[in-house]
Amino acid sequence: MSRTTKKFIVLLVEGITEENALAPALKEMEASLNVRFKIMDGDPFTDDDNKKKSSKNIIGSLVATFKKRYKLQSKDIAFIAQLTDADGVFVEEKEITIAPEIDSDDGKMYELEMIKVRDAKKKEQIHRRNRIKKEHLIVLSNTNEIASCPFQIFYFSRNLEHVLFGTPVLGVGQDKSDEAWEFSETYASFESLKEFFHSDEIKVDGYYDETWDYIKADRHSLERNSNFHLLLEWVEEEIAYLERIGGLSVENN
Amino acid sequence: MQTNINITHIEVENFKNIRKGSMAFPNVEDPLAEKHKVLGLYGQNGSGKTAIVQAFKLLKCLITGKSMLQGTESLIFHDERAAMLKLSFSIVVDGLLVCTGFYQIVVEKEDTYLMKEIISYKLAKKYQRANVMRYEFDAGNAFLEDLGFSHSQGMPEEDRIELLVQRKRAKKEKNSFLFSPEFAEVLRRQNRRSELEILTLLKNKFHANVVIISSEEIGYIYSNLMLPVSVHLANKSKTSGVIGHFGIDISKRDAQDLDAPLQITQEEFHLTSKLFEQLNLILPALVPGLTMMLQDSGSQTLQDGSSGVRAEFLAKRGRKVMPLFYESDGVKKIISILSVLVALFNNKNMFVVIDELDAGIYEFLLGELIDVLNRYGKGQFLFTSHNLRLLEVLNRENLMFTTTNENNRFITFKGVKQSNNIRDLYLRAIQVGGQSEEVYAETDLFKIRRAFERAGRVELNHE
Repeated sequence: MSRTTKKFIVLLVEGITEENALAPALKEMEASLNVRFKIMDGDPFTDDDNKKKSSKNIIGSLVATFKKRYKLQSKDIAFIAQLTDADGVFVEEKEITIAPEIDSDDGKMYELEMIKVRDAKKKEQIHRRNRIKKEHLIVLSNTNEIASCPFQIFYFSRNLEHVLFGTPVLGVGQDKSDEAWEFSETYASFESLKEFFHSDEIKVDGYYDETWDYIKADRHSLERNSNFHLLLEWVEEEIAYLERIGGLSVENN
Repeated sequence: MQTNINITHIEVENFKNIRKGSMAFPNVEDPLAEKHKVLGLYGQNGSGKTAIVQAFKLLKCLITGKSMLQGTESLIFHDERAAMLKLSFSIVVDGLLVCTGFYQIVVEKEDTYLMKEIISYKLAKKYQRANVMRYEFDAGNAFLEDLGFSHSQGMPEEDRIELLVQRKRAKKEKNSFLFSPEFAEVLRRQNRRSELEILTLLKNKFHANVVIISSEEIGYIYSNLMLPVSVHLANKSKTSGVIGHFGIDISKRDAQDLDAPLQITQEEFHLTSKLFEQLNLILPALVPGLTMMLQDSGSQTLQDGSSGVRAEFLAKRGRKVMPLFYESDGVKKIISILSVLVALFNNKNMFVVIDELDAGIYEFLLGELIDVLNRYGKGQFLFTSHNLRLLEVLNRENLMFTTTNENNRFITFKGVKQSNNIRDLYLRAIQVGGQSEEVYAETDLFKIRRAFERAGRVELNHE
């Protein structure tokens, strides 16, 4: 093992739950590929600080911070994968209905066919947020490189918990964490995680672009589905490729 | 005539967690080189840094004629029968390289004795053969011959018996045969002048100019037992040598009498005053406003009847004076090693080894100190550390890193350009590799976090 370097795959995620649920299975691959999660602490698109920045810029600075922290160069990163919750952002405005009787802390409730909100003000808020995030997602799903590294973005619809457990959004807090841990104990191996995301209830068929076309259509961004299996396939292929070329790439003098 | 011995290499086999490892010391090939002789050893916990310090400690113990301590057997790699240490040196006289050689030992685990010892040296001229004195406990008939006493020269019975007896004694007392006074005496009687000279040179160097500070010594400070100091003062010929190693007792002995003065001998008093005089020239530059004071509180007859002094060891900060005992651990540590560092700076014969140099010392200060010692210091300095700031201060040739390969424990970094920040290079090497060996065994943030969480769920079950 002389003079060869090991590459990284960086997963940009919104919260610690993604890492809790997915890291163990992915890290099984670490003999060949370093797997790192960069937790963005919330949705970068709805952050006020990022209001004026372009999508590539926002994601680009996150990657830059990561590289700086670990003293890495672009050539050390084999792939950047952003994971995002669909959150019904692609549904039309008319699908956001006002239903004052909903019982929810934050005044909104997601259902398979619509987003229910408490009042008109909330509707406006949700609609605005959807619009902003939607634009970012469209740009990013058409971007294949950020900071000179290969890039793709994968979605969980309507969010991670929905995909993993088939349940609606839980309140922010502890339960999410426990459930995520348990998921990762059940799906601790790469194979089992791959199988999970290939199941009919979740997997969206087609090539990468086609999966994005799908989520943008109808009310699919409220339904339970994901294209995350494509990332898992990429990881597998990458590792097979690395093994074929006899180890990892050689460092220049 | 100025004679100077440099340590050039050390090789280690089956010692602690090193199956095989070797280290070359910087800037000793050039006999005129006066600077850049600092070597920093970096690495993960449990990767062999302290092992090297222990190796030097053991070598010093043997070369200065002492017995191996109890517990030495635990220094040998756990499933091996013996460990090997080889120390290479060069001898420079008046600026010219005169001779190179090595001292090699094999330590047996079960009975903890030296199975084998070799001193080999060679004049630096062309076509010179090496002179070898080889001691092997189980050499049988070849015993005397190996030591260089050939049969034809005829050796008096009494000398021969002396050597045979010394062999048994060395095993029993667990010390070096070659460095024993008895062997030196036989060499003298047999007129083996150059061998005797080499042995004497090495012995004197290790006695006076080799200082090893391991965590054990520093531990005395943290347990508030004593402050070990090594006093190095210049003598008339302007070369400094150790005048004394002693411990300043800083323990609380009497609950009612916390600040009572210590009773020390006249000589210790004089030594300590000189030490404080020396340290006060530097201390304020490192710890602003701090100086040391030694107060004579009157004479006192000591337990053995001799006349001593009641002395108070004080630290003065600006205008405030207080017992040294109350100073912070970090300051005490600095005081403890400072005299050694002064000697290291001024005397090219010094060879200093300090384990965990950075522990307890302000990072920025440490960086400046190492920079000074490397760029302007004359002696050789080996230290181990975790503090990566120093990687920004030292050059590639002044750094070695431990690896995860127990058969090749230490490496220097390749591919370092002039402009490289070695610290960044190291941090990168930890994660992506790219050097001749792996320097880090994988640990990562997620796994650590997960492990903490899991550990927090372990329940105490009641039957």
